[in-house]
Amino acid sequence: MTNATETLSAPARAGANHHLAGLAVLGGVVLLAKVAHLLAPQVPAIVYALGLGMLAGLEARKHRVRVALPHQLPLMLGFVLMGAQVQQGVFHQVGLEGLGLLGVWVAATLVLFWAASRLRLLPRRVAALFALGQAGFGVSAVVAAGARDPGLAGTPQTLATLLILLTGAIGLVTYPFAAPWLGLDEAGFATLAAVSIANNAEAIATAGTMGAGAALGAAALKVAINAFEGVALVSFLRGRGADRGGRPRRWHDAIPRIPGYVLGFSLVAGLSLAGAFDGTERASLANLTHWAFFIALAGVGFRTRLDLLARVGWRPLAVGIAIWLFSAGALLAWLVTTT
Amino acid sequence: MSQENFRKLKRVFAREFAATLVALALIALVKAGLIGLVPW
Repeated sequence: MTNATETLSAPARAGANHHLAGLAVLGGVVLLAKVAHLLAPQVPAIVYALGLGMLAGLEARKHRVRVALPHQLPLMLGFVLMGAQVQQGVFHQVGLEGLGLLGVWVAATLVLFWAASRLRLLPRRVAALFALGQAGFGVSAVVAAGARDPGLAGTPQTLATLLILLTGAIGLVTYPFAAPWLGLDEAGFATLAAVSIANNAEAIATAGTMGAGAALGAAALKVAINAFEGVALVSFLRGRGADRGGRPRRWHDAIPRIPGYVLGFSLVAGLSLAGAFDGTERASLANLTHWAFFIALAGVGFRTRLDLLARVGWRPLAVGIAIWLFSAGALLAWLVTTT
Repeated sequence: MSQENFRKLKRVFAREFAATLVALALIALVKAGLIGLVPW
């Protein structure tokens, strides 16, 4: 009897320890990343979170430590809270031209990655996830899709996260030098950064190198594209479901197919559009969103399997970067010739 | 979709829905002025 109880409770105890260890590691990585960001604020905070998380993950796997960091709750919290930033004024500020450029970027990204998968330059799943991230929805969308669809976790998610990070880093380092040389003004620079850099933080930080006006312009464009993140995810998951021949049988079967955080995001965005939040409240919620994504991305970094790269090779990333260079170059050429 | 997969999907949905409730609770706290401007 005693033996039986022990064998039953041992895994439960191990599970509790496991969660505590995960929380402790996550807390450590978050703290280190925040300190690093305070010391060198030129690099966006989430880059520290992802990078330090990845290093910790590599170390843990080297020593065969198996912990999972609780990153899903903060990710979904951040996603829902992001709804509070959706305002009508933003769409006016971005204007029809800004929205049009965003639309063209999304369409071009989808077409290019679809072509790459047809030409067998990229596996289908990897191409789909690359397209979702690089269309402008970033790591949060990639991870949210992975949480819903286990077929995307692992290699495709690792590759897509790395591609977003790498292209963001290239933009952050090269755009500030290229812009004055090509004669881009603040508005053009903000558009270049916000449309071609997938993650919000990196896009706004890059635009911020030219001044507060450019950073604000980029932030408005990013809010506009984030407003469509829910729609993008639902279409993406539907497409993946259709790929595997799944179809809801009854109407209530369809509800869980729309992720709960997308419903939450829409609800909060609706409240925001109805005027539920004033400036201070919106700022508070924006900071809470920052924290939620910051904590989530430390956990995402931790589970990003850099060791898988050795097995998969750099080719998919090289293809992804080449496609991005092409689209970003085309966008830059358009902005330079029209301004 | 198999019954098993559907059950799993419903569990995932419940977790996502719980995250939404936590977010709404945070929003309520901000609205009530119980959370001031959170530093970032």
